[in-house]
Amino acid sequence: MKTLNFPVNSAEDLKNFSVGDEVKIEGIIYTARDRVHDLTAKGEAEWPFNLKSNALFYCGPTPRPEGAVFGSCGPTTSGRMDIYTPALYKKGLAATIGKGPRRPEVVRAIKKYGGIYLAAYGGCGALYSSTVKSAEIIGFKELGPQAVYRLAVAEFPAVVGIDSSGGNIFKR
Amino acid sequence: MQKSIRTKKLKKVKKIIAGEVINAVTVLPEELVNQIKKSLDKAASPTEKNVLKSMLKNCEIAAEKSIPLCQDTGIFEIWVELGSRSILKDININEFITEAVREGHKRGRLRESMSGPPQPVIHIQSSGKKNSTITITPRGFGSENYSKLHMLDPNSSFEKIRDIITGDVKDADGRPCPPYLIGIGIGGTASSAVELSVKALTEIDFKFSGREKDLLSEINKLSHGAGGLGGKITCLGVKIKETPSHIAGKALGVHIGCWCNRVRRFNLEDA
Repeated sequence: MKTLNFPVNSAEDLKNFSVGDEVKIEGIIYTARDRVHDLTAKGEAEWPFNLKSNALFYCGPTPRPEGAVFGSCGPTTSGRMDIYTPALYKKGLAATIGKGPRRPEVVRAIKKYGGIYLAAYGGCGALYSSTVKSAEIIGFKELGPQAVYRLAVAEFPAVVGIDSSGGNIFKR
Repeated sequence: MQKSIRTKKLKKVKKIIAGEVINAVTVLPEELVNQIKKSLDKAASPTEKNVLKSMLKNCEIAAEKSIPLCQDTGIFEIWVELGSRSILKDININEFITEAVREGHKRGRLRESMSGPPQPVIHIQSSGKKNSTITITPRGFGSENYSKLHMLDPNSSFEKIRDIITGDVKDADGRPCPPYLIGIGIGGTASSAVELSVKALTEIDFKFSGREKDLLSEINKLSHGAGGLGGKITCLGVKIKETPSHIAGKALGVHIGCWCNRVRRFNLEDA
């Protein structure tokens, strides 16, 4: 199985991954979902990290259980973020991680800017929690489960949903 | 019963319900887990098999660490089938169950997913027996968002109904976390058809009627596959619940449940 490290060194790194590839994600990823996308798009807030070369994980975790590193943290439905996503790839975002299909404009943006979309397994919050090695809130703490977390992950499983040449697993 | 004994007993009952709220989000029903295991050999590809294996591993980790199966611990929908001798008979049940859910939420560190304090949806009915049965199902919104209500012509055939349901699942396009479990409610009013469809999800026993088998086979033809990534394991089960319809219409409620169909049912007096 291939390993995909974040942040990427350059968009070139992503060209080795094709639609349908099973991958293990290693390194740093950042959580964000509905509210943060809306606030940043409206210009009411700034992203608390540099999007360039990084990966966004659509996730709102449960609170951290006592003695654990992180709470249950599976992917949420990516489609709700579609209207905001092309602008983020344009800014150099390397990857989004979520579940379910994306709109054609997201597929086009991924192809145009050389990004990738990774499909994680919905309903597997406990499994993904076990891949988190460390977690810290870096912004939007007041939004509770919608806060932005910086996660260090190891062996985080996913499948390439949309690759940098525009291949799309959800085209059926 | 003396007032102080009664208060103590109610406190204990509340604690039991709160515990079951936590169990509901951390432990998947055994027969559903077995059904996922059975599907492994029918997977269309190594990837689909790995997705299913990840789901099974998720269930193991969740139960072992008592951590939610899914981060969306949902809105709790609860049926209280009240027995004639239940301790809950003379109290404000809605208030009591709401408090129990909030206690479970706090103790289990469930996600604050609502725009206010956790507010369960509670249905109270008579069990017709001495004892009470409580059914808890946390409804996550990855699947809840794809629920549908159709008000059909009273002469609508089952083939028509089947096509509408299959169309709803096709439109959901893998978003509600397949392999799906599908709950169908037919008849009554608009609200009862929808309620029946979610109740159906709590009663899936993997013993299917002819019509349920027919639906299951049509939905599996959509090839959404486990995780929505394409494949053969699109739907694990279908349950239809029906009540008489009005002569001028037929209400159809459709609930597309995710693979992680969390249901907890228990007899309150035995608990």
